[in-house]
Amino acid sequence: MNAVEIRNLTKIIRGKVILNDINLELEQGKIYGFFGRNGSGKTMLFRAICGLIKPTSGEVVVFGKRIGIDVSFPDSLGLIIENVGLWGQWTGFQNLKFLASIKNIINDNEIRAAIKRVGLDPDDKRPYRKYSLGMKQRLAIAQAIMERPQLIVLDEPTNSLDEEGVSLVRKILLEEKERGATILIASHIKEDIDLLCDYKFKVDDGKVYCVEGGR
Amino acid sequence: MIIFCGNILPYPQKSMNIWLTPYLLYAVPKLYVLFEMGNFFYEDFIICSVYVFTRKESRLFWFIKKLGNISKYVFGYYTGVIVSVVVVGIIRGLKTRSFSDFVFIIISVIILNFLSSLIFVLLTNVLSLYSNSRLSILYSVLVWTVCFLQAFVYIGNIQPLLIKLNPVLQPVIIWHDNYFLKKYNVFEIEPIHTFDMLWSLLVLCIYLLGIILFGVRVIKTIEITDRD
Repeated sequence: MNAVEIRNLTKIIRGKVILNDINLELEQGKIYGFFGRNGSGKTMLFRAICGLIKPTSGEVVVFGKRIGIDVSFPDSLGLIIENVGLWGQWTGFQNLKFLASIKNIINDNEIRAAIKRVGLDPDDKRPYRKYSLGMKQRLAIAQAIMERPQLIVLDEPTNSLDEEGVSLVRKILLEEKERGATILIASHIKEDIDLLCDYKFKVDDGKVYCVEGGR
Repeated sequence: MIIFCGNILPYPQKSMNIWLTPYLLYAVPKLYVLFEMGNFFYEDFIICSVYVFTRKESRLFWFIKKLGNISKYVFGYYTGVIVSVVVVGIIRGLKTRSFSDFVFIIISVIILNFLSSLIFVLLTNVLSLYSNSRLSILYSVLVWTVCFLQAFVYIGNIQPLLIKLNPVLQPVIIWHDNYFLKKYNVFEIEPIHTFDMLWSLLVLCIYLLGIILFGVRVIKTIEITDRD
């Protein structure tokens, strides 16, 4: 079974075609990179895969389940969407604990381990609003991987990270791939795509073109 | 009669003296609950909505859970208000002529107020998913006010029919045509013919069902994104 199948996916917003008849099949356990200029449709494609928008036509199937029909959102999903913040008044641990409480499949120790894994201190008492941009990005990655999801969708995961942070995130993503997760990355940093991805796709004007590997 | 408090309005006439107090007693508690509960959906979209929603079972499940919570709070609010009025009445020495009528009137007042407010609170919350909570509260208050105008603007022969279909005026218990109310009609307000509790329940349930279906449609298609 493919991790993700996209069939004739089209999204039109106020008469503008954002995604244009996209067809894709993504196997499990691989890393897929999507690149393209700003506004090319990368984020919208990811939003459709995650069930955050309803396609104008076509369908997205994740692990055999049609998004928006069989399920609202993929069953096992870790996600980073650009510019999404957490609760400013809470510490990093409190933020992740709240999010983890929704599914309730991991305990406090696993949350702590995820925070440590991205190089942060789970006992840091500073509220999230006092975090630097890099720390916020690390925490976002921790929330995406903490529940060991089968599908990890990351929009610009190395944004705002320093060199050490970038290396750490790349290492984590390769470990997640080893675990069997399917990872989708959108990035404008070519090195991220080149170093990490098994398959590379160019997104341009709402169309997706496979440029290396894949089908 | 103390339990009629806040649910008595004079029937609109061609020429009438308008006493502001009963209108305020009727409107303020209902508008208060609208303002208080109007951003119940919206607050889930302010911060981090994509991380919260993608961990939920489904959009519909979220809507049902939210609807359940709103219903619980609105029902609790009216139960609290009415029971408080009754307790104050009892403390002040007011007696009931018939216990069964007394209980029936309390239950009717609570249920009609609950359903009438729930319609507008739910409408506000569903609209907030399109715009934002302040605008949606404004839209709902406007609709509520237009409906409420029928309580003191004389329209003519069509007025009873419009009142019978008006979601805001269903809880005006004194206009109802039930036998157990006529006995207590110390204000000598003529009830509207065939306007009884069952009719009000039916009308309010139809409006509520319509808004629930509208809400389900909205939540199934709305883009999930942070609105702040």
